[in-house]
Amino acid sequence: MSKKSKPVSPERYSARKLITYVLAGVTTAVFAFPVYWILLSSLKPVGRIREWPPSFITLDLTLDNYITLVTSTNFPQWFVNTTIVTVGNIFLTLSLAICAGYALTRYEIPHSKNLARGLLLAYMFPPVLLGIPYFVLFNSIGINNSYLGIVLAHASLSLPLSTWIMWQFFQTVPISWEESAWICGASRFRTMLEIAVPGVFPGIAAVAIFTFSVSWNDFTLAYMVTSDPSMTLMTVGLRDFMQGGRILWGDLTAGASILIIPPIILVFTLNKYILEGFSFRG
Amino acid sequence: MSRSETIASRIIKNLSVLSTDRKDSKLFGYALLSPPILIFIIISLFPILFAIYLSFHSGLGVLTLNHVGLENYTSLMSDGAFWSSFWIGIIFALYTVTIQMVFGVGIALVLNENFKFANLVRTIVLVPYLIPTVAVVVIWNWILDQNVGLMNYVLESTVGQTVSFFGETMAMHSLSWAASWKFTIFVVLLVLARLQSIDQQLYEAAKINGASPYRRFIDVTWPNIKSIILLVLLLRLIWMFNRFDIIWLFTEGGPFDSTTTLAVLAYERAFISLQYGTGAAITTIMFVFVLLGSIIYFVKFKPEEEVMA
Repeated sequence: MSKKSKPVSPERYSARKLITYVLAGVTTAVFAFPVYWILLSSLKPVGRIREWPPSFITLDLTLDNYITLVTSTNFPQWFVNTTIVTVGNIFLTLSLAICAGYALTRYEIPHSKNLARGLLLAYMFPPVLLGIPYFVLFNSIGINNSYLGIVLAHASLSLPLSTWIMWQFFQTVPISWEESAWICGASRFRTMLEIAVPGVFPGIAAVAIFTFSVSWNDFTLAYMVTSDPSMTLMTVGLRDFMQGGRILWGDLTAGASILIIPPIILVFTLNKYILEGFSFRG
Repeated sequence: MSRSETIASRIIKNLSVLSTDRKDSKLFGYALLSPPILIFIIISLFPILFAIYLSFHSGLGVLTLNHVGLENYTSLMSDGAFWSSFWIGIIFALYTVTIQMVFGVGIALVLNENFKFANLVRTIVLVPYLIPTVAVVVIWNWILDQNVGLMNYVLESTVGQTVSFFGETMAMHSLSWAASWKFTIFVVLLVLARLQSIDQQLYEAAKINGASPYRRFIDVTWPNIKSIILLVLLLRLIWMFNRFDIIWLFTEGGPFDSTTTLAVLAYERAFISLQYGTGAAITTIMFVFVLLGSIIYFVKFKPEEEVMA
Protein backbone atom coordinates (compact mmCIF):
# COMPACT_ATOMS: atom_id res chain seq x y z
CA MET A 1 0.00 0.00 0.00
CA SER A 2 1.43 3.31 -0.97
CA LYS A 3 1.17 6.17 1.47
CA LYS A 4 0.82 9.24 -0.65
CA SER A 5 -1.74 11.15 1.28
CA LYS A 6 -0.26 14.47 0.32
CA PRO A 7 -2.16 17.55 1.45
CA VAL A 8 -3.84 19.51 -1.30
CA SER A 9 -1.46 22.23 -2.36
CA PRO A 10 -2.67 25.80 -1.95
CA GLU A 11 -2.30 26.45 -5.70
CA ARG A 12 -4.43 23.50 -6.61
CA TYR A 13 -6.97 24.56 -4.05
CA SER A 14 -7.20 28.05 -5.41
CA ALA A 15 -7.18 26.78 -9.01
CA ARG A 16 -10.28 24.77 -8.17
CA LYS A 17 -11.85 27.85 -6.59
CA LEU A 18 -11.03 29.94 -9.62
CA ILE A 19 -12.51 27.41 -12.05
CA THR A 20 -15.62 27.17 -9.87
CA TYR A 21 -16.07 30.94 -9.94
CA VAL A 22 -15.57 31.14 -13.70
CA LEU A 23 -18.02 28.31 -14.42
CA ALA A 24 -20.57 29.62 -11.94
CA GLY A 25 -20.23 33.06 -13.51
CA VAL A 26 -20.78 31.70 -17.02
CA THR A 27 -23.77 29.67 -15.83
CA THR A 28 -25.34 32.70 -14.19
CA ALA A 29 -24.79 34.79 -17.31
CA VAL A 30 -26.30 32.17 -19.61
CA PHE A 31 -29.45 31.83 -17.53
CA ALA A 32 -29.87 35.38 -16.30
CA PHE A 33 -28.85 37.48 -19.28
CA PRO A 34 -31.71 36.52 -21.67
CA VAL A 35 -34.21 37.29 -18.91
CA TYR A 36 -32.52 40.61 -18.16
CA TRP A 37 -32.47 41.41 -21.86
CA ILE A 38 -36.21 40.91 -22.37
CA LEU A 39 -37.03 42.92 -19.23
CA LEU A 40 -34.70 45.73 -20.30
CA SER A 41 -36.04 45.74 -23.86
CA SER A 42 -39.61 45.98 -22.61
CA LEU A 43 -38.67 49.16 -20.76
CA LYS A 44 -36.94 50.86 -23.67
CA PRO A 45 -38.78 53.61 -25.55
CA VAL A 46 -40.46 52.28 -28.72
CA GLY A 47 -37.96 54.04 -30.94
CA ARG A 48 -34.97 52.49 -29.16
CA ILE A 49 -36.14 48.93 -28.72
CA ARG A 50 -34.65 47.91 -32.08
CA GLU A 51 -31.69 50.28 -31.92
CA TRP A 52 -28.46 49.27 -33.57
CA PRO A 53 -26.05 48.88 -31.82
CA PRO A 54 -28.07 47.75 -28.78
CA SER A 55 -27.39 49.29 -25.38
CA PHE A 56 -27.14 46.87 -22.47
CA ILE A 57 -27.21 49.41 -19.70
CA THR A 58 -29.39 52.43 -20.01
CA LEU A 59 -31.42 54.72 -17.80
CA ASP A 60 -33.56 55.89 -20.69
CA LEU A 61 -36.46 53.71 -19.52
CA THR A 62 -40.20 54.10 -19.88
CA LEU A 63 -43.43 52.20 -19.29
CA ASP A 64 -44.73 53.14 -22.76
CA ASN A 65 -44.77 49.54 -24.02
CA TYR A 66 -46.81 48.45 -21.02
CA ILE A 67 -49.23 51.34 -21.42
CA THR A 68 -49.76 50.46 -25.09
CA LEU A 69 -50.21 46.81 -24.17
CA VAL A 70 -52.85 47.58 -21.57
CA THR A 71 -54.73 50.26 -23.48
CA SER A 72 -54.72 49.03 -27.08
CA THR A 73 -54.74 45.22 -26.92
CA ASN A 74 -56.89 42.59 -25.22
CA PHE A 75 -54.08 41.80 -22.80
CA PRO A 76 -56.01 42.99 -19.70
CA GLN A 77 -58.76 40.46 -20.47
CA TRP A 78 -56.17 37.70 -20.93
CA PHE A 79 -54.54 38.68 -17.64
CA VAL A 80 -57.87 38.43 -15.82
CA ASN A 81 -58.58 35.04 -17.44
CA THR A 82 -55.18 33.62 -16.47
CA THR A 83 -55.57 34.94 -12.93
CA ILE A 84 -59.05 33.41 -12.50
CA VAL A 85 -57.90 30.05 -13.88
CA THR A 86 -54.73 30.04 -11.77
CA VAL A 87 -56.52 30.89 -8.53
CA GLY A 88 -59.28 28.39 -9.34
CA ASN A 89 -56.78 25.62 -10.01
CA ILE A 90 -54.79 26.35 -6.84
CA PHE A 91 -58.00 26.19 -4.80
CA LEU A 92 -59.22 22.97 -6.48
CA THR A 93 -55.90 21.13 -6.50
CA LEU A 94 -54.96 22.13 -2.97
CA SER A 95 -58.25 21.08 -1.38
CA LEU A 96 -58.35 17.76 -3.23
CA ALA A 97 -54.68 17.01 -2.56
CA ILE A 98 -55.01 17.78 1.15
CA CYS A 99 -58.03 15.47 1.54
CA ALA A 100 -56.39 12.68 -0.44
CA GLY A 101 -53.01 13.06 1.25
CA TYR A 102 -54.54 12.94 4.72
CA ALA A 103 -56.80 9.97 3.99
CA LEU A 104 -54.03 7.98 2.32
CA THR A 105 -51.64 8.56 5.23
CA ARG A 106 -54.03 7.96 8.11
CA TYR A 107 -56.16 5.08 6.82
CA GLU A 108 -55.52 1.65 5.48
CA ILE A 109 -56.75 2.15 1.94
CA PRO A 110 -56.83 -0.98 -0.21
CA HIS A 111 -54.80 -0.78 -3.43
CA SER A 112 -53.00 2.34 -2.25
CA LYS A 113 -49.84 1.02 -3.89
CA ASN A 114 -51.56 0.94 -7.27
CA LEU A 115 -52.99 4.35 -6.59
CA ALA A 116 -49.47 5.64 -5.94
CA ARG A 117 -48.36 4.24 -9.28
CA GLY A 118 -51.43 5.69 -10.99
CA LEU A 119 -50.58 9.14 -9.64
CA LEU A 120 -47.02 8.95 -10.92
CA LEU A 121 -48.15 7.65 -14.29
CA ALA A 122 -50.64 10.51 -14.58
CA TYR A 123 -47.87 12.93 -13.59
CA MET A 124 -45.96 11.78 -16.66
CA PHE A 125 -48.88 12.39 -19.06
CA PRO A 126 -47.81 15.03 -21.56
CA PRO A 127 -50.49 17.73 -22.03
CA VAL A 128 -50.81 16.97 -25.75
CA LEU A 129 -52.15 13.50 -24.91
CA LEU A 130 -55.03 15.03 -22.97
CA GLY A 131 -55.80 17.92 -25.30
CA ILE A 132 -57.61 15.97 -28.04
CA PRO A 133 -59.93 13.93 -25.77
CA TYR A 134 -60.63 17.05 -23.68
CA PHE A 135 -61.58 18.99 -26.77
CA VAL A 136 -64.05 16.34 -27.91
CA LEU A 137 -65.43 15.67 -24.42
CA PHE A 138 -65.72 19.33 -23.41
CA ASN A 139 -67.50 20.13 -26.65
CA SER A 140 -70.05 17.40 -26.11
CA ILE A 141 -70.87 18.49 -22.56
CA GLY A 142 -70.56 22.18 -23.35
CA ILE A 143 -67.74 23.24 -21.04
CA ASN A 144 -65.25 24.17 -23.75
CA ASN A 145 -64.66 27.92 -23.59
CA SER A 146 -65.37 28.02 -19.87
CA TYR A 147 -63.22 28.64 -16.83
CA LEU A 148 -64.39 25.31 -15.45
CA GLY A 149 -63.07 23.47 -18.50
CA ILE A 150 -59.65 25.12 -18.37
CA VAL A 151 -59.35 24.62 -14.61
CA LEU A 152 -60.22 20.91 -14.89
CA ALA A 153 -57.73 20.51 -17.73
CA HIS A 154 -55.02 22.24 -15.68
CA ALA A 155 -55.88 20.18 -12.60
CA SER A 156 -55.06 17.05 -14.59
CA LEU A 157 -51.49 18.35 -14.75
CA SER A 158 -51.23 19.54 -11.14
CA LEU A 159 -53.34 17.10 -9.10
CA PRO A 160 -51.26 13.90 -9.44
CA LEU A 161 -47.96 15.34 -8.21
CA SER A 162 -49.71 17.54 -5.64
CA THR A 163 -51.47 14.53 -4.12
CA TRP A 164 -48.13 12.75 -4.05
CA ILE A 165 -46.47 15.69 -2.27
CA MET A 166 -49.24 15.95 0.34
CA TRP A 167 -49.15 12.18 0.87
CA GLN A 168 -45.46 12.43 1.70
CA PHE A 169 -45.85 15.49 3.89
CA PHE A 170 -48.66 14.10 6.07
CA GLN A 171 -46.36 11.24 6.99
CA THR A 172 -44.09 13.75 8.73
CA VAL A 173 -46.87 14.75 11.16
CA PRO A 174 -46.90 12.27 14.06
CA ILE A 175 -50.31 10.76 14.65
CA SER A 176 -49.72 11.13 18.41
CA TRP A 177 -50.38 14.88 18.08
CA GLU A 178 -53.84 14.12 16.84
CA GLU A 179 -54.41 11.26 19.28
CA SER A 180 -53.94 13.50 22.26
CA ALA A 181 -56.57 15.84 20.84
CA TRP A 182 -58.99 12.97 20.24
CA ILE A 183 -58.66 12.00 23.90
CA CYS A 184 -59.77 15.51 24.76
CA GLY A 185 -62.82 14.90 22.63
CA ALA A 186 -61.88 16.64 19.39
CA SER A 187 -63.41 15.19 16.26
CA ARG A 188 -61.37 13.63 13.52
CA PHE A 189 -62.28 16.42 11.14
CA ARG A 190 -61.24 19.06 13.64
CA THR A 191 -57.86 17.50 14.38
CA MET A 192 -57.22 17.18 10.67
CA LEU A 193 -57.92 20.85 10.06
CA GLU A 194 -56.37 22.24 13.23
CA ILE A 195 -53.42 19.90 13.86
CA ALA A 196 -52.44 17.90 10.79
CA VAL A 197 -52.99 20.57 8.11
CA PRO A 198 -50.94 23.29 9.87
CA GLY A 199 -48.24 20.66 10.37
CA VAL A 200 -47.83 20.25 6.61
CA PHE A 201 -47.59 23.95 5.81
CA PRO A 202 -44.36 23.58 3.77
CA GLY A 203 -46.11 20.94 1.67
CA ILE A 204 -49.09 23.22 1.12
CA ALA A 205 -46.77 26.01 0.03
CA ALA A 206 -44.93 23.64 -2.33
CA VAL A 207 -48.21 22.44 -3.85
CA ALA A 208 -49.53 26.00 -4.23
CA ILE A 209 -46.37 27.11 -6.04
CA PHE A 210 -46.32 24.04 -8.26
CA THR A 211 -50.00 24.46 -9.16
CA PHE A 212 -49.48 28.16 -9.81
CA SER A 213 -46.68 27.37 -12.22
CA VAL A 214 -48.79 24.74 -14.03
CA SER A 215 -51.63 27.18 -14.73
CA TRP A 216 -49.38 30.17 -15.32
CA ASN A 217 -47.27 28.13 -17.80
CA ASP A 218 -49.83 26.15 -19.68
CA PHE A 219 -50.21 26.87 -23.34
CA THR A 220 -51.11 23.48 -24.85
CA LEU A 221 -54.34 22.67 -23.05
CA ALA A 222 -55.78 26.18 -23.04
CA TYR A 223 -54.92 26.46 -26.75
CA MET A 224 -56.77 23.22 -27.49
CA VAL A 225 -59.89 23.55 -25.32
CA THR A 226 -60.71 27.21 -25.95
CA SER A 227 -61.56 29.04 -29.15
CA ASP A 228 -63.59 31.98 -27.86
CA PRO A 229 -61.39 35.13 -27.78
CA SER A 230 -62.97 36.18 -24.47
CA MET A 231 -61.51 33.03 -22.84
CA THR A 232 -57.96 33.52 -24.10
CA LEU A 233 -55.18 33.13 -21.55
CA MET A 234 -52.05 35.31 -21.62
CA THR A 235 -49.91 32.47 -22.94
CA VAL A 236 -52.27 31.82 -25.86
CA GLY A 237 -52.82 35.52 -26.57
CA LEU A 238 -49.11 36.33 -26.71
CA ARG A 239 -48.77 33.90 -29.60
CA ASP A 240 -51.02 36.19 -31.67
CA PHE A 241 -48.43 38.96 -31.34
CA MET A 242 -45.87 36.70 -33.04
CA GLN A 243 -48.14 35.83 -35.96
CA GLY A 244 -48.26 37.73 -39.18
CA GLY A 245 -45.61 39.70 -40.99
CA ARG A 246 -44.88 42.53 -38.60
CA ILE A 247 -43.93 41.47 -35.09
CA LEU A 248 -44.94 43.97 -32.43
CA TRP A 249 -41.80 43.79 -30.30
CA GLY A 250 -43.02 46.44 -27.86
CA ASP A 251 -46.21 44.54 -26.99
CA LEU A 252 -44.42 41.24 -27.10
CA THR A 253 -41.54 42.12 -24.76
CA ALA A 254 -43.91 43.83 -22.31
CA GLY A 255 -46.37 40.91 -22.35
CA ALA A 256 -43.60 38.34 -21.89
CA SER A 257 -42.20 40.40 -19.00
CA ILE A 258 -45.57 40.33 -17.24
CA LEU A 259 -45.49 36.53 -17.52
CA ILE A 260 -41.90 36.43 -16.25
CA ILE A 261 -42.07 38.76 -13.25
CA PRO A 262 -44.30 36.70 -10.88
CA PRO A 263 -42.14 33.55 -11.21
CA ILE A 264 -39.02 35.65 -10.53
CA ILE A 265 -40.62 37.05 -7.38
CA LEU A 266 -41.58 33.52 -6.32
CA VAL A 267 -38.08 32.20 -6.91
CA PHE A 268 -36.48 34.90 -4.79
CA THR A 269 -38.98 34.85 -1.93
CA LEU A 270 -40.18 31.25 -1.63
CA ASN A 271 -37.18 29.37 -2.99
CA LYS A 272 -37.13 26.83 -0.16
CA TYR A 273 -40.72 25.73 -0.79
CA ILE A 274 -40.02 25.32 -4.50
CA LEU A 275 -37.16 23.04 -3.59
CA GLU A 276 -39.42 21.16 -1.12
CA GLY A 277 -41.68 20.37 -4.03
CA PHE A 278 -38.73 19.11 -6.00
CA SER A 279 -37.24 17.01 -3.25
CA PHE A 280 -40.20 14.64 -3.53
CA ARG A 281 -37.88 12.06 -5.00
CA GLY A 282 -35.16 12.75 -2.47
CA MET B 1 -65.47 8.76 44.33
CA SER B 2 -61.80 9.50 44.55
CA ARG B 3 -60.09 11.88 42.20
CA SER B 4 -57.89 9.18 40.64
CA GLU B 5 -60.97 7.12 39.92
CA THR B 6 -62.65 9.95 38.05
CA ILE B 7 -59.57 10.51 35.92
CA ALA B 8 -59.26 6.80 35.21
CA SER B 9 -62.91 6.45 34.30
CA ARG B 10 -62.73 9.53 32.13
CA ILE B 11 -59.78 8.11 30.25
CA ILE B 12 -61.58 4.79 29.80
CA LYS B 13 -64.65 6.61 28.62
CA ASN B 14 -62.63 8.65 26.17
CA LEU B 15 -60.75 5.61 24.98
CA SER B 16 -64.03 3.97 24.12
CA VAL B 17 -65.05 7.18 22.36
CA LEU B 18 -61.78 6.95 20.53
CA SER B 19 -62.35 3.40 19.43
CA THR B 20 -65.87 4.07 18.19
CA ASP B 21 -64.54 7.23 16.57
CA ARG B 22 -61.95 5.06 14.85
CA LYS B 23 -64.70 2.85 13.44
CA ASP B 24 -66.69 5.84 12.24
CA SER B 25 -63.54 7.40 10.97
CA LYS B 26 -62.92 4.58 8.54
CA LEU B 27 -65.94 6.09 6.84
CA PHE B 28 -64.42 9.55 7.26
CA GLY B 29 -61.32 8.31 5.45
CA TYR B 30 -63.33 7.14 2.48
CA ALA B 31 -65.40 10.31 2.50
CA LEU B 32 -62.19 12.36 2.31
CA LEU B 33 -60.68 10.22 -0.39
CA SER B 34 -63.61 9.83 -2.76
CA PRO B 35 -63.82 13.37 -4.19
CA PRO B 36 -60.13 13.49 -5.16
CA ILE B 37 -60.22 9.96 -6.56
CA LEU B 38 -63.38 10.68 -8.53
CA ILE B 39 -61.94 13.87 -10.01
CA PHE B 40 -58.65 12.12 -10.71
CA ILE B 41 -60.46 9.40 -12.65
CA ILE B 42 -62.55 11.93 -14.56
CA ILE B 43 -59.73 14.28 -15.54
CA SER B 44 -56.77 11.92 -15.90
CA LEU B 45 -57.69 8.31 -16.58
CA PHE B 46 -60.96 8.72 -18.46
CA PRO B 47 -59.59 11.14 -21.11
CA ILE B 48 -56.73 8.77 -21.90
CA LEU B 49 -59.14 5.85 -22.26
CA PHE B 50 -61.44 8.04 -24.31
CA ALA B 51 -58.54 8.97 -26.60
CA ILE B 52 -57.90 5.27 -27.18
CA TYR B 53 -61.61 4.77 -27.93
CA LEU B 54 -61.53 7.80 -30.25
CA SER B 55 -58.58 6.34 -32.14
CA PHE B 56 -60.82 3.53 -33.44
CA HIS B 57 -63.26 6.03 -34.90
CA SER B 58 -63.27 8.48 -37.73
CA GLY B 59 -63.83 11.66 -35.81
CA LEU B 60 -64.63 14.02 -38.61
CA GLY B 61 -66.68 16.56 -36.77
CA VAL B 62 -66.95 16.08 -33.05
CA LEU B 63 -70.30 14.50 -32.39
CA THR B 64 -70.40 12.01 -35.24
CA LEU B 65 -68.08 9.14 -34.43
CA ASN B 66 -68.04 6.22 -36.84
CA HIS B 67 -66.32 3.04 -35.82
CA VAL B 68 -63.54 2.31 -38.28
CA GLY B 69 -61.62 -0.38 -36.43
CA LEU B 70 -57.88 -0.23 -36.96
CA GLU B 71 -58.12 1.92 -40.07
CA ASN B 72 -56.56 5.01 -38.45
CA TYR B 73 -53.58 2.92 -37.39
CA THR B 74 -53.11 1.09 -40.67
CA SER B 75 -53.26 4.31 -42.65
CA LEU B 76 -50.71 5.88 -40.28
CA MET B 77 -48.34 2.95 -40.76
CA SER B 78 -48.26 3.61 -44.50
CA ASP B 79 -48.14 7.38 -44.07
CA GLY B 80 -44.71 8.88 -44.78
CA ALA B 81 -45.54 11.94 -42.67
CA PHE B 82 -46.11 9.72 -39.64
CA TRP B 83 -42.74 8.00 -39.91
CA SER B 84 -40.79 11.18 -40.60
CA SER B 85 -42.46 12.81 -37.57
CA PHE B 86 -41.65 9.76 -35.51
CA TRP B 87 -37.96 9.99 -36.36
CA ILE B 88 -37.85 13.76 -35.99
CA GLY B 89 -39.41 13.27 -32.55
CA ILE B 90 -36.71 10.74 -31.64
CA ILE B 91 -33.97 13.09 -32.88
CA PHE B 92 -35.47 16.03 -31.00
CA ALA B 93 -35.74 13.96 -27.80
CA LEU B 94 -32.19 12.56 -28.02
CA TYR B 95 -30.67 15.90 -29.02
CA THR B 96 -32.36 17.99 -26.32
CA VAL B 97 -31.96 15.39 -23.58
CA THR B 98 -28.24 15.00 -24.37
CA ILE B 99 -27.78 18.76 -24.00
CA GLN B 100 -29.83 18.79 -20.81
CA MET B 101 -28.02 15.87 -19.20
CA VAL B 102 -24.48 17.04 -20.06
CA PHE B 103 -25.03 20.62 -18.94
CA GLY B 104 -27.44 19.70 -16.14
CA VAL B 105 -25.02 17.32 -14.43
CA GLY B 106 -22.10 19.68 -15.08
CA ILE B 107 -23.88 22.68 -13.62
CA ALA B 108 -25.04 20.63 -10.63
CA LEU B 109 -21.43 19.64 -9.92
CA VAL B 110 -20.30 23.29 -10.11
CA LEU B 111 -23.16 24.51 -7.91
CA ASN B 112 -22.38 21.79 -5.37
CA GLU B 113 -19.04 23.47 -4.64
CA ASN B 114 -18.83 25.86 -1.73
CA PHE B 115 -18.32 29.38 -2.94
CA LYS B 116 -19.51 32.85 -2.14
CA PHE B 117 -22.94 33.60 -3.65
CA ALA B 118 -23.54 29.86 -4.15
CA ASN B 119 -27.09 30.24 -2.87
CA LEU B 120 -27.73 33.25 -5.07
CA VAL B 121 -26.54 31.39 -8.18
CA ARG B 122 -28.63 28.32 -7.23
CA THR B 123 -31.64 30.63 -7.03
CA ILE B 124 -30.98 32.51 -10.28
CA VAL B 125 -30.71 29.34 -12.37
CA LEU B 126 -34.23 28.35 -11.24
CA VAL B 127 -35.79 31.27 -13.10
CA PRO B 128 -35.83 29.81 -16.64
CA TYR B 129 -37.57 26.65 -15.45
CA LEU B 130 -40.45 28.57 -13.91
CA ILE B 131 -41.09 31.13 -16.62
CA PRO B 132 -43.77 30.09 -19.13
CA THR B 133 -42.75 28.42 -22.37
CA VAL B 134 -44.37 31.25 -24.31
CA ALA B 135 -42.07 33.74 -22.59
CA VAL B 136 -39.06 31.52 -23.36
CA VAL B 137 -40.10 31.57 -27.02
CA VAL B 138 -40.45 35.36 -26.99
CA ILE B 139 -37.03 35.74 -25.33
CA TRP B 140 -35.22 33.57 -27.89
CA ASN B 141 -37.15 34.89 -30.88
CA TRP B 142 -36.09 38.34 -29.75
CA ILE B 143 -32.44 37.37 -29.35
CA LEU B 144 -32.24 35.22 -32.50
CA ASP B 145 -34.38 37.38 -34.80
CA GLN B 146 -33.02 37.61 -38.33
CA ASN B 147 -33.24 41.41 -38.54
CA VAL B 148 -33.22 42.92 -35.06
CA GLY B 149 -31.83 40.08 -32.93
CA LEU B 150 -28.92 40.57 -30.59
CA MET B 151 -27.18 37.40 -31.74
CA ASN B 152 -27.09 38.51 -35.35
CA TYR B 153 -25.85 41.91 -34.26
CA VAL B 154 -22.94 40.20 -32.52
CA LEU B 155 -22.29 37.90 -35.48
CA GLU B 156 -22.41 40.74 -37.96
CA SER B 157 -19.96 42.86 -36.03
CA THR B 158 -17.54 39.98 -35.42
CA VAL B 159 -17.68 37.72 -38.49
CA GLY B 160 -19.60 40.06 -40.75
CA GLN B 161 -22.41 37.63 -41.47
CA THR B 162 -25.89 36.99 -40.15
CA VAL B 163 -27.54 33.62 -39.63
CA SER B 164 -31.16 32.69 -40.26
CA PHE B 165 -31.68 30.86 -36.96
CA PHE B 166 -35.12 29.56 -37.88
CA GLY B 167 -34.32 28.74 -41.48
CA GLU B 168 -34.40 25.14 -42.66
CA THR B 169 -30.84 24.24 -41.71
CA MET B 170 -30.78 25.89 -38.30
CA ALA B 171 -34.36 25.53 -37.00
CA MET B 172 -33.87 22.18 -35.24
CA HIS B 173 -30.68 23.42 -33.56
CA SER B 174 -32.12 26.76 -32.41
CA LEU B 175 -35.26 25.04 -31.16
CA SER B 176 -33.33 22.36 -29.29
CA TRP B 177 -30.91 24.73 -27.56
CA ALA B 178 -33.66 27.19 -26.61
CA ALA B 179 -35.79 24.32 -25.22
CA SER B 180 -32.79 23.02 -23.28
CA TRP B 181 -32.17 26.48 -21.83
CA LYS B 182 -35.49 26.07 -20.03
CA PHE B 183 -35.45 22.36 -19.14
CA THR B 184 -31.82 21.81 -18.11
CA ILE B 185 -32.68 23.20 -14.68
CA PHE B 186 -34.88 20.19 -13.94
CA VAL B 187 -31.77 18.01 -14.22
CA VAL B 188 -29.70 20.46 -12.15
CA LEU B 189 -32.27 20.53 -9.33
CA LEU B 190 -32.63 16.79 -8.90
CA VAL B 191 -28.93 15.99 -9.30
CA LEU B 192 -27.88 18.85 -6.99
CA ALA B 193 -30.32 17.67 -4.32
CA ARG B 194 -28.75 14.22 -4.44
CA LEU B 195 -25.20 15.59 -4.43
CA GLN B 196 -25.93 17.61 -1.32
CA SER B 197 -27.18 14.55 0.49
CA ILE B 198 -23.84 12.73 0.06
CA ASP B 199 -22.05 12.33 3.37
CA GLN B 200 -19.02 14.66 3.36
CA GLN B 201 -17.09 12.17 5.48
CA LEU B 202 -16.88 9.87 2.46
CA TYR B 203 -14.90 12.54 0.63
CA GLU B 204 -12.70 13.15 3.65
CA ALA B 205 -11.97 9.45 3.95
CA ALA B 206 -11.14 9.22 0.25
CA LYS B 207 -8.84 12.21 0.53
CA ILE B 208 -7.00 10.75 3.51
CA ASN B 209 -6.46 7.59 1.47
CA GLY B 210 -4.91 9.69 -1.25
CA ALA B 211 -7.68 9.44 -3.84
CA SER B 212 -7.33 11.94 -6.66
CA PRO B 213 -10.28 14.22 -7.50
CA TYR B 214 -10.99 11.92 -10.44
CA ARG B 215 -11.04 8.80 -8.23
CA ARG B 216 -13.16 10.60 -5.67
CA PHE B 217 -15.68 11.32 -8.40
CA ILE B 218 -15.67 7.71 -9.65
CA ASP B 219 -15.74 6.08 -6.21
CA VAL B 220 -17.89 8.46 -4.18
CA THR B 221 -19.88 10.86 -6.35
CA TRP B 222 -20.86 8.63 -9.26
CA PRO B 223 -22.32 5.68 -7.28
CA ASN B 224 -24.44 8.17 -5.35
CA ILE B 225 -25.87 10.03 -8.33
CA LYS B 226 -26.14 7.12 -10.78
CA SER B 227 -29.73 6.22 -9.99
CA ILE B 228 -31.04 9.80 -9.98
CA ILE B 229 -29.33 10.37 -13.34
CA LEU B 230 -31.10 7.34 -14.80
CA LEU B 231 -34.42 8.55 -13.44
CA VAL B 232 -33.97 12.07 -14.77
CA LEU B 233 -32.87 10.67 -18.13
CA LEU B 234 -36.01 8.54 -18.34
CA LEU B 235 -38.37 11.37 -17.39
CA ARG B 236 -36.74 13.88 -19.70
CA LEU B 237 -36.81 11.46 -22.66
CA ILE B 238 -40.54 10.84 -22.14
CA TRP B 239 -41.30 14.55 -21.81
CA MET B 240 -39.14 15.81 -24.65
CA PHE B 241 -40.41 13.13 -27.06
CA ASN B 242 -43.98 14.25 -26.35
CA ARG B 243 -43.34 17.99 -26.18
CA PHE B 244 -45.77 20.16 -28.10
CA ASP B 245 -45.85 23.78 -26.90
CA ILE B 246 -42.29 24.95 -27.44
CA ILE B 247 -42.09 23.43 -30.95
CA TRP B 248 -45.46 24.77 -32.05
CA LEU B 249 -44.68 28.24 -30.71
CA PHE B 250 -41.22 28.46 -32.28
CA THR B 251 -41.68 26.85 -35.68
CA GLU B 252 -45.17 25.30 -36.03
CA GLY B 253 -43.26 22.22 -37.15
CA GLY B 254 -41.59 24.05 -40.02
CA PRO B 255 -39.83 25.04 -42.09
CA PHE B 256 -40.91 22.28 -44.50
CA ASP B 257 -41.90 19.97 -41.62
CA SER B 258 -38.26 19.80 -40.47
CA THR B 259 -39.38 20.13 -36.83
CA THR B 260 -42.71 18.29 -37.04
CA THR B 261 -42.63 15.72 -34.24
CA LEU B 262 -45.46 13.29 -33.44
CA ALA B 263 -46.97 15.78 -30.99
CA VAL B 264 -47.10 18.45 -33.70
CA LEU B 265 -48.49 16.00 -36.25
CA ALA B 266 -51.19 14.87 -33.80
CA TYR B 267 -52.22 18.49 -33.29
CA GLU B 268 -52.29 19.20 -37.03
CA ARG B 269 -54.34 16.12 -37.83
CA ALA B 270 -56.85 16.76 -35.05
CA PHE B 271 -57.23 20.52 -35.06
CA ILE B 272 -56.28 21.59 -38.57
CA SER B 273 -57.39 18.64 -40.73
CA LEU B 274 -60.15 17.98 -38.15
CA GLN B 275 -59.37 14.25 -38.15
CA TYR B 276 -59.78 13.71 -34.42
CA GLY B 277 -59.60 9.94 -34.82
CA THR B 278 -56.21 10.08 -36.52
CA GLY B 279 -54.96 12.62 -33.99
CA ALA B 280 -56.08 10.34 -31.17
CA ALA B 281 -54.40 7.35 -32.84
CA ILE B 282 -51.10 9.27 -32.90
CA THR B 283 -51.39 10.27 -29.23
CA THR B 284 -52.31 6.68 -28.34
CA ILE B 285 -49.07 5.52 -29.96
CA MET B 286 -47.27 8.22 -27.95
CA PHE B 287 -49.05 6.97 -24.84
CA VAL B 288 -47.59 3.50 -25.38
CA PHE B 289 -44.14 5.07 -25.03
CA VAL B 290 -45.17 6.85 -21.84
CA LEU B 291 -46.47 3.54 -20.52
CA LEU B 292 -43.23 1.72 -21.37
CA GLY B 293 -41.23 4.47 -19.66
CA SER B 294 -43.40 4.27 -16.57
CA ILE B 295 -43.02 0.48 -16.38
CA ILE B 296 -39.22 0.89 -16.37
CA TYR B 297 -39.69 3.56 -13.71
CA PHE B 298 -41.89 1.37 -11.48
CA VAL B 299 -39.80 -1.77 -11.82
CA LYS B 300 -36.40 -0.13 -11.46
CA PHE B 301 -37.08 2.63 -8.96
CA LYS B 302 -40.06 1.37 -6.95
CA PRO B 303 -41.17 4.97 -6.29
CA GLU B 304 -44.38 3.86 -4.57
CA GLU B 305 -42.34 2.78 -1.56
CA GLU B 306 -41.71 6.43 -0.75
CA VAL B 307 -45.30 6.94 0.34
CA MET B 308 -45.86 3.53 1.91
CA ALA B 309 -45.19 4.18 5.56
